[in-house]
Amino acid sequence: MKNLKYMSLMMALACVLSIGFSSCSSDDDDNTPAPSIMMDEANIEEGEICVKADVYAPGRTKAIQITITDATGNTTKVTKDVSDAKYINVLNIDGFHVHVDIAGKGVVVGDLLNLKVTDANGKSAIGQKNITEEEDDDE
Amino acid sequence: MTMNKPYMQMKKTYLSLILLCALSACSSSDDNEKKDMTYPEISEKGIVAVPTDCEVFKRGEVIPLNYVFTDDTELGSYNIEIHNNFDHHTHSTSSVECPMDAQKQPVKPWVYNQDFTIPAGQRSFTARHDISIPADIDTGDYHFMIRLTDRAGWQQLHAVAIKIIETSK
Repeated sequence: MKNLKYMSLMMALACVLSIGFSSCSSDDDDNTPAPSIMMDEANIEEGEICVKADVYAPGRTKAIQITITDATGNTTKVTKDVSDAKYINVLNIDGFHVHVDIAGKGVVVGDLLNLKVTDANGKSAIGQKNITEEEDDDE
Repeated sequence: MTMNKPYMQMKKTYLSLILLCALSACSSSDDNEKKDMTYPEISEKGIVAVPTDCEVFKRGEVIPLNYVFTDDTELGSYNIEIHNNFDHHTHSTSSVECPMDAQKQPVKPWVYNQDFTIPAGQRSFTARHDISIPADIDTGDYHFMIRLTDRAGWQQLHAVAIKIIETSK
């Protein structure tokens, strides 16, 4: 009789603890928001595109890719993976700044630059900006 | 109805073990990272910081980097990047305006980009390096960028405007 009561008690405890364990599991991944991107600049500068943006990735950055297409988005002209250690596995990038070589790629003002950031949970976001001429900061 | 003493002791032992396991399972290893919601800091506390805004260096000499990094939980790594500012762009981390040369096209601009790891467990670290300035690079305005990342992944940017000039003859 003692054993039966004891076993019942243990079963009840096991049920309670299993609920406790599941609530302790790392289910935050599903709730972590996707990255957000604020595009600042996509300017043509002497055979390069100067890309500037601010990134916030609560799930930490895992991959960053820049793609340049024509204005309609149908034809891809340039693809560049950004793997600099300073931009990967971070929660925020203030002043993301990369130059993309476009020599001989037929990139023109008005083309579309896509900055895709994927976090460690597989969630991604794309920032877009039409390519413009370099601004003269002195004017 | 009374229970015998060995039975009660066994019951207490089992209960203690189960509760201990439950507590252990709930305290995950990355709790500290989730609680760290503060950016690391790049400062001049207790040192003479180098470089600072508008500082001038000569080609062929060194930039004796000297900054203090702190974080409330744990530091991670940092990156030093130097690039030209011949087009007068900004990085908006400083309100200081330095006298600048006229805009120009780069011919042989200096590009420096190096990652550094901070030893584990540090909440304060003094970064001190001598960065050699190549003798054949374009002179002019440059940006000296420090990116400090803590273990949680928060990153702080500190951009400094410097000028590289000809070596004295």
